[in-house]
Amino acid sequence: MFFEKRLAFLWIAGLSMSISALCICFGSVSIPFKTIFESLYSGEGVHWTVITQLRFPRIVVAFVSGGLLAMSGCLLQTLLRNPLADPYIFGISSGASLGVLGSLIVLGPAFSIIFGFLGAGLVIVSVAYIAHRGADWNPYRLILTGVMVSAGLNALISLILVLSPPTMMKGMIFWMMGDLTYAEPRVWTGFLALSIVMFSIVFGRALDAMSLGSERALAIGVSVRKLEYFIYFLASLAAVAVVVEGGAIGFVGLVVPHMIRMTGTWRHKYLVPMSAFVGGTMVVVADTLARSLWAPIQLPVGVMTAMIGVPILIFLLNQRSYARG
Amino acid sequence: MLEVKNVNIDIGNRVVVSGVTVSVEFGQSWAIMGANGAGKSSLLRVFAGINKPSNGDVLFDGKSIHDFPKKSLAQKIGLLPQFEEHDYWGNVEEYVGLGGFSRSIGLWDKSDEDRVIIQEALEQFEMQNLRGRDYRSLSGGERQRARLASLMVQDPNLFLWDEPLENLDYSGRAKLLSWVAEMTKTAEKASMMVMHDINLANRFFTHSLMLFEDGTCLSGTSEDVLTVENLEALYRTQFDQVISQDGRLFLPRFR
Repeated sequence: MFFEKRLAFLWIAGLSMSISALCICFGSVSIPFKTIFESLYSGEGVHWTVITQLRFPRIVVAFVSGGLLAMSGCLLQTLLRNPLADPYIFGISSGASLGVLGSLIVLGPAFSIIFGFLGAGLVIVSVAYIAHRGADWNPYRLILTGVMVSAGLNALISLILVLSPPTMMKGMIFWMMGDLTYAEPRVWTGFLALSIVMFSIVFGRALDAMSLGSERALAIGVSVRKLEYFIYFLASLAAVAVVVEGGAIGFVGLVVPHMIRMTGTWRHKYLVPMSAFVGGTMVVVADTLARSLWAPIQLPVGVMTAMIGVPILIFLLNQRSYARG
Repeated sequence: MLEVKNVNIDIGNRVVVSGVTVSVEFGQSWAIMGANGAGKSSLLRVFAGINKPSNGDVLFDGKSIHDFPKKSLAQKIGLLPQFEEHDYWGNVEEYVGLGGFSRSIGLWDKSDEDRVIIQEALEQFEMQNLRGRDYRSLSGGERQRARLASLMVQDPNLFLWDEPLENLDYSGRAKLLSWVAEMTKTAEKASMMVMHDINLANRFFTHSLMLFEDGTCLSGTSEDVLTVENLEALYRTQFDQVISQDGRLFLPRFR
């Protein structure tokens, strides 16, 4: 049992890394394997530049983003004990979007990342504050507060979109659907992803126990409140890290954890790292398709994640009696 | 070991429990009784350190229970709440093993001692055949037995049970009650159980705590506390006392 899970984990890790590596070949121009090896060996030429300057960084960003989103969704589904939870449930993407869109219109693109951070940070703090005020937070309060805040912000975003000049509209919509064109790999996001993996391995059993409800989890000795804060801030931070770089890439955070649970892995110390690998691969593949399907036109990656994710999830739902009473 | 001093519990503006003072020692087995909504579960949660009382102190070995780290408190006081969420994904054995969470250190999962006590708990509550089954596929009674077993695996010094007899059939009840009675007598353990059956309380429990609707309470040995007058005040129902081979029996007069 123990070894089976580890073996399955190694398989998934290896498979997802190789699939992602394979995606280097594809894009607006396909580069055959042989050429890739040759140019890597020689270290010069057009292909060398394309691979090291364009494709490789993009694949890294896509992989880390997908991993962060999937882990964030997974942890939030545990925190809220709700299968519909995803990284954007508290309105983080809406907060970031509002910041980015606002600054794009007023200041131009230079400051958009900073304002994205500010918007999202404001949402994280205010949702936690509102859900906490007057009473303890609990899944219901937290989820409803998040949904309300995000509904309010979305209305403001729609207002901005309607009032903004039509020339900017397309870029904004692209960004809101998730678009990795301008994303760059950053050290801190990789570090964040690693810390979340470590967190879920170390606190795996406590996270498992959360599914008994907070009262029972407390009674067997889980520091529920501390754990909840950790989950909330780690998962939110993961979502912010992705959104400010690549926009609100949807569907990965919602679907990937379910896909993995459906295949029989539910303990968090396996579930969360596996989510990271599968989520990462999904976004890399989606992004590669988005770059190459209608090349040279690039599609928003968020569209592709949904197009890949929906059929897989529906297939798995029919395979297994998943949502049993 | 557990020292409850003048505990008040208010929920909203309503005084639910006022002035509860109880001292629980090793070897004692308490029945907690009261009408619906009298605050039995709230009181148990306060005893377990999950909620704080509006007033008063709860001490374990002379130290406030809120001063213990969560894990070490769970080794001293264990509560089985009346309800819990049922979206646990693992099988019965893993569910029961979660009771031993407070003994786990960091990455280490289960020690050999844990495996032994899990095995004992599964046997005690007749769950050996169900050990590999998904917890979520169990019936109500089977779930209840798995829950009882998980508290046994937690193995605290003070067991707090919130209506554990619900969902159990007669043999399940008898097994649980005689196990609790035996355990408190022989090991350094104590137990407090919320329940509604006066005759079981009279037969299996050394002490009783009654919570009245006006918030007051009465505690002492079951022999002293369980009288026709007190029961009539507690449940607002008339009772007859009958002497049988096994001692006293209380029969409610329904009319």
